[in-house]
Parts: sequence; structure tokens; C-alpha cells
Amino acid sequence: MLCFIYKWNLSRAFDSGKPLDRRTKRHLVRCETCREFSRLGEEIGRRLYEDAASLARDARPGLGDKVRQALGEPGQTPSLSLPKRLRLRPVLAAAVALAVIGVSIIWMVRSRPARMPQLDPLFRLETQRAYLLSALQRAESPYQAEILELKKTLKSTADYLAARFDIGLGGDKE
Amino acid sequence: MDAIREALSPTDEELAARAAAGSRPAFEELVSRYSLRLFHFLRSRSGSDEDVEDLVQETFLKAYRNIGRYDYQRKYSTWLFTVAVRLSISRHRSQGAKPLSLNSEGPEHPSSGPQEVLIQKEETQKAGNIWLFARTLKPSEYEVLWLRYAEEMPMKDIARAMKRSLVGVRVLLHRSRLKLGKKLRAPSPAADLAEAAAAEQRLSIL
Repeated sequence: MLCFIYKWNLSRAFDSGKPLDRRTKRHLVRCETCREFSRLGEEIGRRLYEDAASLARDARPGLGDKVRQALGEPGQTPSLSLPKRLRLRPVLAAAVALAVIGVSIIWMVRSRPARMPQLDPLFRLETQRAYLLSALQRAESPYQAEILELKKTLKSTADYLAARFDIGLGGDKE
Repeated sequence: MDAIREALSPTDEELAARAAAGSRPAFEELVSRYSLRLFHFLRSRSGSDEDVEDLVQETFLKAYRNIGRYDYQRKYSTWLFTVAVRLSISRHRSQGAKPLSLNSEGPEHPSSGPQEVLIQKEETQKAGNIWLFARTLKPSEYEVLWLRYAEEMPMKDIARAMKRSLVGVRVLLHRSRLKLGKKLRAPSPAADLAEAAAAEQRLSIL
């Protein structure tokens, strides 16, 4: 009933040259049909080898000449081989082209934010000016405080002198 | 002496490399080595010897034109048989509309078809050659047997040449051997005819 499996195993053994497994060997002992298949398979293989050799001895003298003659006709030129490095297959070339396109897209997308200020130089100048002004203000602030302090001192001194000497500035004389 | 000469003669791959570099004599040497082998290989695809010869010629011309594409690290025979298989299949496709003597991948050759008549004619000349029986199989079955037994190609090379998977080749070989075994066990049509003629003669005497 399962002879087709054993026949397949036998067929594989013919082609691979590997020995049969134990189960197939056991089956062959019991099954006459599979033994016949095995015998016939070996016989067919042997005859195919031998008869092919006898066919190869047949001479067809005109055949080779016919081909040689056709090779000499105009238009029959061989495609000369290129060095191996230059033999770029179309699939490989397509893959390389795709990779280049992919890399260039990624590069463009990544480099765009860094390039944006360059697209608007006025904005960058304004930002820099604001930064410089605030820095300047921060740098001037200690002197300004001192000036204010001096102004206050001078004012109070002037007030004292005016009160002490009572200098009239051409005011009302009663 | 022959062994020494054989050892000194360039391999197929070396010749193919020379041909690719522009040497026509090298390719002509390959033609003499392979023309007969290709002729027998392609026989199942065509009805007459002239057609097969044309196909062999076309195969060599195509191989010559495309020799630059041949990869020297692979066997030349595998490449050449691959070219032959593709060409024969495309030729049958292109001739699809015309009445053919046999189908490219259809049923086996009918017993009264021209292929069968040719085989019977040859059968009288070369009695008992198993390849004549094999020619009554489907072309792909005949071809896989030829590559396996006549060319002694490794299975993976057969798969490459026939554009099939390794398992596909194993199945095809298995099926081809089964069919061939059945054909060998069954009495041949020629023998049937001879037997029938003899019986008729006996009856007429009686």
C-alpha cells in the first residue's frame, strides 16, 4: 500500500548514490513489486548509460560543418567578455542606484534644519543684534550704578552748600 | 597515448574563455565536441533530423553571440544545454500556430504520429537502443534522462539547465524512469505489427 513511498526512496537512492535506509531495505525483503522496481530501475540506468555511449559513436559529418559555415556568415560576432569588475549585472546596478537615491534622500532631509537660518540671513542678524545689545547692557550696568550713585552724592552736596551759605540766586528780597 | 593527448587538450571552459577573447577556432573546437551531443539531446523536440540540425545550429550561434556572458567558474556544458533548452522551448512557442508533428510539453507521442513512424524506422536499424523508447516520452522527461545518464550532469546542474528546483528534477527523473520501465515491459508497436503480420500469414496458409 505504501509502495509509492519506498519506490520514491529507491529512486532517490539511484540519483544520489546514497545507501538505502533500513526501513526501505526491510520493505524490499517483503515486497516483490518494489524489488522488481529496484531491479528495473538499475537495469534502465545501466542501459541508458551504455546506449548513450553507442549513440555518441554515431557520426553526423555534415552537422559540425554546417554550424562552422554559419559562424562565418556576416553578423555573427561574439560579445567579447569584459573584465569581471566591469561585468555589472543589471540587478546589481539597480540595487546600487536605489541605495544611492535612498542615501541622498536621507541626507537632504537631515541637513535641511541646519540650513534654514542660511535661507533667512536677516533673521539671523536680528537675533545676533539682540544678543549683542543685551550683552552690552549687561556689560554697562556696573558703571551706570556708579554714575547714579555719584549723581546722588553731588545733588546732596549742592543742597548742603545752598543751605549753609544761603546764596541767593536773585530771588525775592523782602 | 590518447590519455596523454586528452590530458594536454584544453578543457571546455578554457576553450570558452579563449572564444570569449575572440578566438573562433576555440569555439569551433567546442562545436565539434558538442554538436552530436546536442543533436541527440534535442531530438525529442523535433520531428525530423533537419529540424534538429537547425536547432543545434541556432543553439551554437546564440552561444557564440553571447559567449561574453558565460561565467567561466561554471561548467560550459551546463551553460550550453541551458541555452539549448530555452531556445527549443521558445521555438516551439513561436511555432504554436503551425501544425507541429509533436507537442512540446503535451501528451506523449501518439502511436500513429510521424515521430513514432520515424522511431519505428530507426528501430529496425538500431534494434534495442533504449533512447528510442525514451524519445516517446515527453520532451522534458527525455531531456532530464539525457542530462542525467548521457551527460552525467550533477543534479544541481540539471536543475539549473532545466530551470527547475532540485526536488522538481528528482520527481521528473522518478516519473521518467517509471514510464520508461512501463514502455520497456509493454510490447512495442513494431513488434505488435510484426506479430500480427505473422499471424495473418499463418491463417492464410491454413
